[in-house]
Amino acid sequence: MNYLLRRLGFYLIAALLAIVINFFLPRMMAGDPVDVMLAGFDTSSLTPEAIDQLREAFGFIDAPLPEQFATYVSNLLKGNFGVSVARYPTKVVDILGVALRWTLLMTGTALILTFSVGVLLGIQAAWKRGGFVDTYVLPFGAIMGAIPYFWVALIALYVFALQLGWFPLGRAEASGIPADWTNPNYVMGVVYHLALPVLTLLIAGFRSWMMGMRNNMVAVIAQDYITMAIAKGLPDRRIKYQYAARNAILPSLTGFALALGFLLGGSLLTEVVFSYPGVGLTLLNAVNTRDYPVMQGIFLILTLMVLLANFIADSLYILLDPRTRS
Amino acid sequence: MTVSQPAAPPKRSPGLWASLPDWVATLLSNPRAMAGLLILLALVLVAVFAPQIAPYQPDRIVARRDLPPSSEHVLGTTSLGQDVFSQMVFGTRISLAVGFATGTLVVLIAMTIGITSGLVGGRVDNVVSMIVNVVLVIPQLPLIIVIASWARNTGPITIILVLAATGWAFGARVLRAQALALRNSEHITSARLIGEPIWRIVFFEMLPSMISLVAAAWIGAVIFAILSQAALEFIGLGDPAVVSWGTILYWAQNNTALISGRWWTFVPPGLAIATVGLALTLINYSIDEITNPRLRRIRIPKDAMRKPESRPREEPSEQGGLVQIRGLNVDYWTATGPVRAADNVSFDIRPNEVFGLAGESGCGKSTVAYAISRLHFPPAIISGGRIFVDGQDVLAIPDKQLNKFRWDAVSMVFQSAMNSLNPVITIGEQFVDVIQAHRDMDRKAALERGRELLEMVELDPDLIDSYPHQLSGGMRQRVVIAIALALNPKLLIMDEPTTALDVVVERQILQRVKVLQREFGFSILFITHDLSLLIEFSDRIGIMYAGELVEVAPAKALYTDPQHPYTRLLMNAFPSIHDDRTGRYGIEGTPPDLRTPPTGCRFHPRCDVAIAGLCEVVVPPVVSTGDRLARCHLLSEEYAERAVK
Amino acid sequence: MSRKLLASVIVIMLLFTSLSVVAQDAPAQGGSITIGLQAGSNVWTRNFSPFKAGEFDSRDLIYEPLIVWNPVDYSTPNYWLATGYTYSDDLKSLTFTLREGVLWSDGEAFNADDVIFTAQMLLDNPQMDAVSFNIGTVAESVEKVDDYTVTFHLKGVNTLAHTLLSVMNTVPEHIWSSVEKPAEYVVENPVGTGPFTEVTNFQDQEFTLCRNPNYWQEGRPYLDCINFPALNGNQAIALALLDGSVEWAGVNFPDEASFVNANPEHHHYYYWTGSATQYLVLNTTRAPLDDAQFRIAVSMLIDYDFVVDVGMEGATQRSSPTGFSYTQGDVISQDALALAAETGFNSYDFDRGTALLDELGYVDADGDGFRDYPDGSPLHLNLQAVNGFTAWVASTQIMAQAFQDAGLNITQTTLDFGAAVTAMRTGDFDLAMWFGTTGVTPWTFYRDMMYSALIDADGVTSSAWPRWTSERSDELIEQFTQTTDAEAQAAIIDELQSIYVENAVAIPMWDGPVWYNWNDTNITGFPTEDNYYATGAVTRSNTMQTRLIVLNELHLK
Repeated sequence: MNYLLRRLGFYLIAALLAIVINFFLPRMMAGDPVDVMLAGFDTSSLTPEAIDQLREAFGFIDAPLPEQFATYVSNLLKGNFGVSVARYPTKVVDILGVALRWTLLMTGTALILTFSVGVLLGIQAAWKRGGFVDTYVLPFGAIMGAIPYFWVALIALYVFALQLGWFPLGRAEASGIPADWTNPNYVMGVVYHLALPVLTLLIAGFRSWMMGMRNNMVAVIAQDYITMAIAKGLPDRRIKYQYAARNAILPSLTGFALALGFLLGGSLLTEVVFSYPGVGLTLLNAVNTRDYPVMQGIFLILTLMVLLANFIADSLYILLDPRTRS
Repeated sequence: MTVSQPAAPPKRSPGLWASLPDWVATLLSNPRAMAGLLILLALVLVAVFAPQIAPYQPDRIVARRDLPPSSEHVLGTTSLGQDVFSQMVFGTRISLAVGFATGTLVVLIAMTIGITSGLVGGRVDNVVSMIVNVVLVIPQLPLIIVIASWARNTGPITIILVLAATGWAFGARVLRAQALALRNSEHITSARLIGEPIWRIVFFEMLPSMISLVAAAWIGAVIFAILSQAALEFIGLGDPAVVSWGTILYWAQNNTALISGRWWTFVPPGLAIATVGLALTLINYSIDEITNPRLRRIRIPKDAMRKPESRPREEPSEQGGLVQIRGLNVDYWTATGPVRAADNVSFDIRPNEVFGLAGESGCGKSTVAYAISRLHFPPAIISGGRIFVDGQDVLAIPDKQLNKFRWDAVSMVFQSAMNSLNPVITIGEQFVDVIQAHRDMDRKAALERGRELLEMVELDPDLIDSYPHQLSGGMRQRVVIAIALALNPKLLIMDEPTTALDVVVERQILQRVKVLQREFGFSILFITHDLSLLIEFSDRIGIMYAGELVEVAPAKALYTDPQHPYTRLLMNAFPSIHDDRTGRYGIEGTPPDLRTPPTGCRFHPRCDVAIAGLCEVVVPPVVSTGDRLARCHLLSEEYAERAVK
Repeated sequence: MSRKLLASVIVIMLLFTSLSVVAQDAPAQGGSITIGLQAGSNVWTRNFSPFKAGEFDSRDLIYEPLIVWNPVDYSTPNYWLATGYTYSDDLKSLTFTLREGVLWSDGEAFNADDVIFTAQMLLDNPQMDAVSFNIGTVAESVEKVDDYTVTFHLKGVNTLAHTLLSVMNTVPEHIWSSVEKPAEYVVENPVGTGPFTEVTNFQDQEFTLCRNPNYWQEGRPYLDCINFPALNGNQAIALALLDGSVEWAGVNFPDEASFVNANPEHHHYYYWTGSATQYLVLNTTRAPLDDAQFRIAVSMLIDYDFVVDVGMEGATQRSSPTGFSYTQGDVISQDALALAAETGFNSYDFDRGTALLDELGYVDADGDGFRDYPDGSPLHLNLQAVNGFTAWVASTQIMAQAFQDAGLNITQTTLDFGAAVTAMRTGDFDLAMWFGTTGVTPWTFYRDMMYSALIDADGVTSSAWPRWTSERSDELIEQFTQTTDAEAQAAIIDELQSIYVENAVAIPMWDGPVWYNWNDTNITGFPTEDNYYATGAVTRSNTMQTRLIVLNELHLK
């Protein structure tokens, strides 16, 4: 438990750093968010006084930085991420709530899939040197790793959705079916829209898990307990999974943050290509409309999400590695 | 980027930059690395000679818009009427420049932070490594997007700075780990003791041995930079007036080239990025293989993989041993070909006997032991001979039935007790799995049997629920022995079972084993380089040198009258059991390199009684007298004849 | 065939004929349309308040304006919740008479109290007003005359007040009066007077508005419902148009042929070009752009037809030198046009332009290949475009090439929108592509462009980008709003045009097109090129709420 507490402390520091970055970035930027907001509307006859009033309404007030920061943190703790500038008066929390749902669905599905597929392939590649996976899938993964996620998504959209018509042209829900998770038609629609983006993420993303797992497996296979397991005459499957993979997966879990970061980055862009209503698309919209409260909120929520995922990975580590428990 | 563990520090002093050509040579001899380098070189040439190669100015409008590829415009034109091919050519410049510049910047930052932190150590290192880990855990792309979006004009320079500011942490972590490992290596420690200045140590001692890691970090950063740049430009965070691969994609997307099927604007940039990535990945993998030899693949000719021909044709003799090894050859394949680690080894282990096998490390004694359980895997191959255990032709057992044979007839206690147990499952599980793999027994009964066995090796049966890390080294070795006895094997191989233990524990364990051996009546193949222990513990002893068995004799006879000069030297060299055993064997010279074994008698270069003109020319015969044999010219009739002459 | 059967067949046939006769008179009700708005976001958040910024905009379909102004014919007001307007004799107040018999969708009656409540709420909450209708810039107060008459007291004489105040969308007093913080009020289930008020489906990426059961226009709307998928960006809408899932949208389809070819019978597009001009702003506070002759020379270097063809992909036409669309031909002053022809302002003549530059003394003094100031100091200017506004980036790229060819060292820079807006407001730019503004009368354009009162002491402005002013033009701009005499107003506009052309205040580039694509597979009644009864804009803006007219006309085939 000591280990978990230490990790928790570490994540708190990371979260604090994210908050600090988050606070200072918008205040260092060029361009005034209120100007931008106004430019989007038909407000040519607005007087400078009216503009000042708006500025005040959106909280960009003149106060010393520490004071602004204190207010900012206390607002965050209250769950108040502010109000969207571009979609005034919608609360940032409400925007994030919807976006996060879809990102969790897509990135979560992709994470589970890329992780499972990558790890299984990695196990196979190391276990059967010179086998199919080692000879063909590994180099394929290497090539895929060198191609930008979003380009794979673009090509997939072009070929499988536009040309072949096998998949929908983006978005998350079937048209005209009210959102109801107990309605199988609705769920089917969601799955249908989820399929292509997740598949492209899988194709582009399984490699980092696979390579990591393979390298770990190669290291583990050289361990004495594997030799002993073979000498014991245990069935292959048991050696492969209970002895080799169980041990090899541990470093993968510690490298989780990095791999998750890559996947998340990929999935943000995939959302853009597929018009998938998640955090990535919302972030892009926020960037385009210079909706700083939303940008801030997204960066923070994504960081917290990644930290949470890492914490879960750490807990899993504890579950899988008895050595951390003492 | 793959997560790889820091390579172990080199044992040998790299000595200034002397190792560099070596490393480069290895890289160049790798066909994949060569391919990668050539592709990269070609791209760099394209970038350098872009004005000569491109038929048009990249941003000039030179034709009608949206023209498909033609002889005039190889990749067609953009929605403005610019020549896509020329844009691709000039785009190479920006994309490579951003990639290389970012990579270099990232590596410089990572090196400065990583090496300083690893070298200084202590509190500074703690703080730095925490910062590095915090930066690593923050999702990069959102951070980059947010930073890039407030940068006023996101031209290539801004992108380089933003990417460097966010991308250095991974390299810093890897390099720090390596610096830390190096810092504690003998080599650097001694350099520091001599009082070499820090900068000399960093530049002349540490950097050369880190160069491959630095190169890998650089390549990883370049790939990262090129991909990130393309991503940023694609979503419109770059400067669309700059012609790069990312902006070509941006314009393609903006002009909905996808919908209109104008593939020539969005396919080439992606392929170009992929090509760079591929080239760099190829080089990176080769570096990976160089730093991590386990990843190297060794080609073994098909015919070497065949089952060894049953060289001595004879069947196991009736009155022979429980284990009969006949003419055993084991080859280790290396990049330059096979190395024979066990050469024509033959001996018997009788029922109820402790057979000791001794020799310096690398002499092949473990190789022989592994062969008995068929534990050799490529690149190690049993290339000849036969092994019979209890009448069964071990090398003839089909692969599928091997598991049945293993542990049931022959079980084994491995060299390092610490690492023989699976650290993540309980002791009980490790009893259950082996018992259930061989016996039709339910889990409960198997666990009960495990407790029994623990008691047999004088351990608390409740330890059955513990994990290996909760046990001391001695206890773990007892557990391994208990597991080894779980199926009542006919032969127990103990491969230097006590090297990591202290003398008292070693004694206790061996005495217990001896008791159990008498009780259950199995044979033991006991392997060690501790001759005194061996003589005390064994009934008969074999001595190996450079892959060959040079002498076999009953323990007492060997002790009182060693026949082979090597045995004799070993006896003289080893300290008595009461002495401090940290001292090394004191035979002059080093064991031979098996890739080029000495001609004639393999021991002749170190032999104090070698006969010039004979020993280095003629392979000595095996001379057998009574219940002992030895491989030495001094014992042969030929020598006797010569001596007479 | 039995007699009975025959009888029933005849009855059925009669039924059908009678039905089709009805259909010829008035289209049958039913059906739904899916429209593709530029959502600005890919997720809807459920808030049907008309007083919020950005995002999905169905406000005019729920809460209606007093008058709908149709850019195709500004001279004919489409009276909506109002039936007429009159100015007081001193022109300081404006009275609207309201339509009687209008019901809110919940059955309550609409009357003057609702209009007054809405106006007063906006006057009391300037930030709400700023992101919505801006009535506070014109109106001082609002007063009830009787249940169907409302008078606005104006801040000053402004004969355009009727165009600015009538666009306000009215909300029901009986709902909103109990709201404590109207600016933050989230309306989940709206009550309005508009044709589509009932939210029947609300998903993250799509919602449906269906007919107001109490709609005041007899038999309208014909359609039952409108689906609003959340689509963001040209690409997403274009894809949806292409596969037929969106039937009405307003995107610059990059390759119209590929859209039409996908379904030649039913896929249509028409880009009407009477909207606001887009133009090249020259910062007249900076040398050498403070020299009108230099500005005229610059205007001669631009190949307008080529820019329109390539930069705008031929989707529009070039504007007249007076800043107006040739579509509004009757407004354009012939004197001003003649003046432009004489000076060469705003017409492509590369040689004349370079000759003029030579004449003005802008020649290459230091031999670096670029022209320098007459005093020999090097001349370098930036040409600004906004990142993401592809037509602008493309056009400025073409222009920059032409300038370079003419020896002018003018280089293209692209800024993010935010930075560009700040640059425009503070005057930190040399040359820039920017929007013009448009209003119900041509006056709006000149007021926004040249009125000195719009520039504060620090030189900051939110519309007079060129920063060119003169006493005469200020006078004319002010006079315009002091009279209701159409002839006097026309004379003022004519003189303003001449001033504009003479001083080359800004270089008009092209007419902002009204992007409009539609698919009439199931639904008909759309404006077409031949019968463009209202603009085909699928989105609303304060000056363009014409989709109300269109959506009341659309019906099943």
